Amino acid sequence: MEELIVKLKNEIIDVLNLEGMAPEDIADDAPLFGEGLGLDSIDALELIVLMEKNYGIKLKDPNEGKAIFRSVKTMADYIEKNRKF
Amino acid sequence: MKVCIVGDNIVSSLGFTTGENVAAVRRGDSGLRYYADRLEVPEPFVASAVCRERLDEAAERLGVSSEKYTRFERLSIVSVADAVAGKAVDLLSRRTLFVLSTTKGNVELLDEKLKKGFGPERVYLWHTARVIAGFFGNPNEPVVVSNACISGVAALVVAKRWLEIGDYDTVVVVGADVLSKFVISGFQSFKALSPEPCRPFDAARCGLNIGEGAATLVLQREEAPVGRVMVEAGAITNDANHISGPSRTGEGLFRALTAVMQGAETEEIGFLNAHGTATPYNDEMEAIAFERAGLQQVPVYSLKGYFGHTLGAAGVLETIMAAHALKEGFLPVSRGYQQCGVSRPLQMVTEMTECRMRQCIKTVSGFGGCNAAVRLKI
Amino acid sequence: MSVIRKYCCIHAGKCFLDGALLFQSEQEKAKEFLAELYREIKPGYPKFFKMDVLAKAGFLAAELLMKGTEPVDDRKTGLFFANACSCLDTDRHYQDTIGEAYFPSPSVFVYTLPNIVLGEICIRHRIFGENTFFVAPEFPVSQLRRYTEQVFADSGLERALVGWLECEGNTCEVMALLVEKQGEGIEFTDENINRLKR
Repeated sequence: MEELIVKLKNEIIDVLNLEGMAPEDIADDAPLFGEGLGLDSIDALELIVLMEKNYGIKLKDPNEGKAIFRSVKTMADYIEKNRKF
Repeated sequence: MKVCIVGDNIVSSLGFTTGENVAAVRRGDSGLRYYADRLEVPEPFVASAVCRERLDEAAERLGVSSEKYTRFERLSIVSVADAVAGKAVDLLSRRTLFVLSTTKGNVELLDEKLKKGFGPERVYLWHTARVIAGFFGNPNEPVVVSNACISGVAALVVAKRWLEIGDYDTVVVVGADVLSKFVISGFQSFKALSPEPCRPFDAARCGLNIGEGAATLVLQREEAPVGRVMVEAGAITNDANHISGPSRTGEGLFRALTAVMQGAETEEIGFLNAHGTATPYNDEMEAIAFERAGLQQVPVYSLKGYFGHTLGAAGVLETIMAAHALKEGFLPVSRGYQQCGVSRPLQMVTEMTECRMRQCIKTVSGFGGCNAAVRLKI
Repeated sequence: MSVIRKYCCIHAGKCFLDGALLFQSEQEKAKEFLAELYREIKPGYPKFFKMDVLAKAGFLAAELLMKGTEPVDDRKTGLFFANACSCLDTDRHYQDTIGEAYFPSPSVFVYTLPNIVLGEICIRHRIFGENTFFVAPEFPVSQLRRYTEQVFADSGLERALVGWLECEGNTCEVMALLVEKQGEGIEFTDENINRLKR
């Protein structure tokens, strides 16, 4: 799990172009949207692509994303349970 | 001097002349169809596509072969040729300007499999504009407006200004875009496409459908126009809010509406042809802007349920439909609408209505936070 | 007579403001150079790094031109820009995401419209006025100038950012002007715009 969290943080920084951010700057349970990292709706869509591309998880309804993308921790939990590869 | 519409054409899923398109809308026909396995897009989609055989036929008659001209160019040329047919328009003149409105032009040529014999220069919008204007022997460098979904109305505003500057007697505005894997996949990645025919302003709306087509408006200045539809006012604004999400307050659209309403009374406006893409946020934003502009009592309809969202063609195509609605005196049903799904109640048109009207407003909004509106008068 | 209040030219490697060299670097690749320029002028706007090269170039030019200008009524500023390649580099980038490996990228797709740069500038500087993007084979100096003058005359617009924003491959070529309907500055003429180009 720990390993997945670090990997995920690196992937997020990379696909969302979070310049100057390092994995240790993102707390495992800090909110990704709103107050937290300040991500927006396009970032959310890009996270959906990340889930599919890197873990084979297809989210049909973007509203599902809300709970899954609450924090890196919630994302990692979901991936752990649903990943295809 | 007034800027007047002296010729027009629509090439869409519903027909190859303005007349055919108007008749289809009056009947309530939709050009939206379900496509699986088209354009190599893995997920099925609903879209409005121009009939290939009819396009081949129409292009063939003009000598516009598919070896020398792309689908985008053939659509545009067929549309312009019909719009100017039988009109006193000199396309060979230095005093005639072409304005092309498009979002993606020949973007499909970026796909190796679709490139055929076309050179790498063909994907440049200015180049394809030259091909189109060049077909008609026009000697001027065409103006290309590429402002996302507002391109068509923006091009009309630009055309009006060039006529008012006085350098040209005639401006031919052609708006076009074609269905491509590029565009469909992009909107799918935005989760913005409806799996069914779209339902603008309806409670159950869940996204838009993409359409393709070309539409042409021929504009001239006339001293004392009789029976012409005139472009009275036009405005382009920005929400200054988000590059893809519509403003929550409808700020840009509100400002565009305020600008085009200068010099007109609300009671004089027969209808509002909204952008009405049927995405949850867009339609809500429009409803807020209409209310803020004091236009909530004006009948509203969206044409997306007939044509889909034809992108760079939309503003031109829908302005032509609005002009003919004024001319012939009818309000088309806002197809797909059943129950109000926006927070500000609108006077949606739910029955085809014949009525005389003098003025109307056409609005559009798009990515990049841009908005545009024109007010037409007869 | 409208006037040019400030002007800015950016090429990979060099950035000029009002004719004076503001920043230069060995870096000749547009994307990297623009990142260096960003660090030099420090706008404190992390969203910059999410933008495509065209938007980055326009954003930085606007940043330099708007800095220190007195605020005007937000309705009264407009943007009129042109280029030759629209957003073809980003189009090509997006096309790569829908090939054999099919993972269409929404954050790339959103920049496949050339007017997105105008949206970015509007958001940053709270500009609500007319914003129009033209595509032309080369900098249509006269056309843009006359169009801007016409908008000044018919719409109540009093200030505009006007110019050429061409970014393709590793190159970028930016010439942006802050133009005001009236006031002190260089006369807004074709000759002057051509003279100020670098």
